[in-house]
Amino acid sequence: MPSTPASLAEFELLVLLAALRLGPDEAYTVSIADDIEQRTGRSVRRANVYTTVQRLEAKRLVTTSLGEARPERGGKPRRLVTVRPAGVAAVRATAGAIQAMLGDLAHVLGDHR
Amino acid sequence: MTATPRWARRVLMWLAPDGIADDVLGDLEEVRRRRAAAHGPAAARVLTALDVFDMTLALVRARAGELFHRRGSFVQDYKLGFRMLLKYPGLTLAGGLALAIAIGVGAGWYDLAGDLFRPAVPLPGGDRIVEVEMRNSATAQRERRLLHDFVAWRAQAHLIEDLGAYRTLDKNLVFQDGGGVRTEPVTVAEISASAFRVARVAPLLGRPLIDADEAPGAPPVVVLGYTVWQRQFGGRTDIVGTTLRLGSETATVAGVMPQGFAFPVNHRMWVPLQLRGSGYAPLEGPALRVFGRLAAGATQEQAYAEVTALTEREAAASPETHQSLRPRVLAYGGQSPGDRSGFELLLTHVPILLVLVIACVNVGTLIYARTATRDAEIATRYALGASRARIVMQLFVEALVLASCAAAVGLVAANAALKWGVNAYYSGQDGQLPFWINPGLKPTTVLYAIAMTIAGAFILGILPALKATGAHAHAQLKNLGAGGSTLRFGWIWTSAMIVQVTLTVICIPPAMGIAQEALRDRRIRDRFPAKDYLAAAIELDQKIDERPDAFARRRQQTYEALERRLAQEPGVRAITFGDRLPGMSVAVRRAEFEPANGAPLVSIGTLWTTAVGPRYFASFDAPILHGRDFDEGDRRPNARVALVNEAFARQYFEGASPVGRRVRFAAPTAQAQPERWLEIVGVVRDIGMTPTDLGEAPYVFTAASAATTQPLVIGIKAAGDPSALAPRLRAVAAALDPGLRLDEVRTLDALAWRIDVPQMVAAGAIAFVVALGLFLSAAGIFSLMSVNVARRTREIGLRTALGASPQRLLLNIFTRALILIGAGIAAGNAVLLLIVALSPEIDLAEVSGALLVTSAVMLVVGLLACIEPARRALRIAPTDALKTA
Repeated sequence: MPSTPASLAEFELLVLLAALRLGPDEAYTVSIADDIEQRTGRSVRRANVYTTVQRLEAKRLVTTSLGEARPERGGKPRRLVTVRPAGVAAVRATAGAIQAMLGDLAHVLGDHR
Repeated sequence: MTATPRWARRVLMWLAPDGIADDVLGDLEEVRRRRAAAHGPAAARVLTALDVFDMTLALVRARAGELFHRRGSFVQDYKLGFRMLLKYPGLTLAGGLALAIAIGVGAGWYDLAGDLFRPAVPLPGGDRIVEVEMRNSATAQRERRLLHDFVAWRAQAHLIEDLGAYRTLDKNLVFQDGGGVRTEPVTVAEISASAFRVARVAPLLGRPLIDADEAPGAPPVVVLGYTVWQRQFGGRTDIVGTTLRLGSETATVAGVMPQGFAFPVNHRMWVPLQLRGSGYAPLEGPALRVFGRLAAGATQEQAYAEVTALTEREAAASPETHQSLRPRVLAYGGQSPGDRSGFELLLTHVPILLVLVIACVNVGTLIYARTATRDAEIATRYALGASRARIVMQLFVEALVLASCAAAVGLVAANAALKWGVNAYYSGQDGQLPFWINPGLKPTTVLYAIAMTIAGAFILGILPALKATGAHAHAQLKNLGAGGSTLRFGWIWTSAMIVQVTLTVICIPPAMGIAQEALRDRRIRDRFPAKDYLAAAIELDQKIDERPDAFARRRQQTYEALERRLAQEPGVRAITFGDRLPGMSVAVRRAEFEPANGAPLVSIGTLWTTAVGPRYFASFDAPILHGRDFDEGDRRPNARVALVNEAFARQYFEGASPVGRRVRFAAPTAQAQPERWLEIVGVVRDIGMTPTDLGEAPYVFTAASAATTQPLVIGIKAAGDPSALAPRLRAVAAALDPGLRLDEVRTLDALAWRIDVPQMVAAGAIAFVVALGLFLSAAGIFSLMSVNVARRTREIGLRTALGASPQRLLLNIFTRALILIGAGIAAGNAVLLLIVALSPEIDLAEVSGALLVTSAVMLVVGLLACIEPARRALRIAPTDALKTA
């Protein structure tokens, strides 16, 4: 029997979407925070991104790995985020649920896309 | 190179979860550079600071959540802590008791210090209530005959409002009980009506006393306290307006006060203080206490100045009575005005911290030794990836479990001791526990004890844990499998143990002395047949306007009538009275006597004294050895004769008869005149109820009259059980005069036992503390030696293999223990000798025996503690030690 995809909180969904968009070579805390800020227009605390990535890692939805040391980071490496298939399934399930819930509310909410 | 400020790096390194600290710093630096490029370095600095602050908040919140999630591991730590208590019962018992004593003593002192330094009177605006008292500077005594001054102050003082006065009367309350009439003594305040305005507490039923009740000739009324209303009148709601009998008087119930109201001290009923309109002469009338409430805006100092001015005016008018009188305005309950002083804080907290630190250092050595035995376990956990913080936390929780159990025991004991001690103290004073003192630990004290417990656990757990998990842990990792411990007792722990042995050595001689004294006193007192006597304090109601000579006459007649009726009771063999009976609390004074005609006077620092009634000595089977007994003429006010006991003759006249010599009591102050000479007319055999180091205490007896002796304690010698006479004594007294009160009706041995109990308890407590000190010292030495043997397992094995003799081996290992014990004993003896040198009254020859005993006890205890580690060392097989090497 296939396992049920994990349910996601809103910010977890945003982090996973940003990580998917940026890809495994460019998704790290600063870029994920920037991406969410640019697309949603809301201010994002990087500390929240750290703790959310840790939580997603504990749920086995993402893996992280250290990149190379970079001079613009004072010689520190980036922790790169890779979304695992379970993470993709969780995004799909959560996004599907949202779509399903929004489906017949267009007359109330207008065009939400 | 990173330009992120160092403080920010430190904060984030500390807060960031394990493994992401580098990422956090890298991200911070990257963003800072980006901002510096876009907005300039100054703006970047500000924005970075805000960034760090924002991240700190989020990380702290995340950490708090993490802690919450980790509660499971805390539960594990607690379970382990309790298992450790059972696994090391010796440490649990010794360490737990030491901590229980420290926390109990600390909490008790904190509670007591609060009552002493900052008692709070639980009445509305209680901090504005004051007491006005008068002191006689010539006698250094309080002058309580204040009727004259009270009337003047009430009329003229403006800075103290609702000035009132009261005196305490113990009266017999006569009430119906199940169809019969019962009499019970109650504490009544004869008090000004203003008391109820000062207290600002409304009655539960009816009304309080009002000014009209104070008018001479006003119908007598009484206000009942809640307890009396409930207990004696069953809480009847129609009680107001009914009449009751108080002693020989009848009064109408005006009202009932709510539960807990006991103003001015611990009174259960209130009757009006009726004063005559014509005023009073200076120092006329009975003892009174005066109270009031500071007027709005007035300070205690201003009120004091006003009362002082009025008293000075009175001193000018009546110098013979008021020349030496000085008024004082005190905060009610003795509360000192102003903010808490630094000295008060010091006196409150320093003794507590001292006791706690001493106990923690003692127990810390044991915990440290236990940690040393778990060296390998800690190193293994390290190797398996446990963080240092995790291991430190576990050891802290283990110490916290021990300290918490000890604190619970200590608090329960402190609560019981405080209740017993405070009640015993006040019953020894005047039998009244003031309403603002609630014996037992307060909630704030419990919180204080919790803080002490955590602080204690911190010292006990964190210090050894930091040591065990420092660089040493890595060394132990390398040592794993090779056997033996690498943790060692450094100079701090060794010094702590030497101090502990020293303190124990210092405490042994006084403990021995106190215990011996308590046992000796009890043994001597047991020889006296105190169980054959019934004792009771007797007093008669005195009306406020009754003249002293008329009252004295009535008192004499009432006592004589009582004695006549009691003599007719079956089983009564002898009746006498005094201001105290043998075995009751003693009165001591300074005195001087003439050793011979014309010889210089000899001062006596402590002379025991009792005023005795007729047939006192015969009643207590103490015959007159020289001279004569008192006769009726000796009881007149101008008589100047005394009797002394054998002990007096022995100590001051080398056993010769002092009859014909003179003795006098010293003046209470240097300015006052000494009392008049008393001629010694007889010597009486020692009764044997006041033991001292030199045998029975030296006594001077004076002749007492039932008219004036205060207090008047009757002693009845019975043929059988004297307590069977108690109901008859009460019945005879009630029938004779309803205003005749009996207090403390008990057998003499019960009263004497009550005096002995605190001494026995103190001796027991000191003996217990010393025994605990010995046990802790032994446990510390045992720990030191155990760790030493564990550390040197391989070395011992190798030495044994190379043919070292057991004696040499033991000497080599145990030299440190011997040095430690020797240093402790030497230091302890040095301190004791210093005390002897500084105290001329202590004879070196007398204490040298105690010093030898102390040293021997400590040495034996120390060597006993070495036996088990020695056995362990000698059992190390060379082959096993070599295999692991």
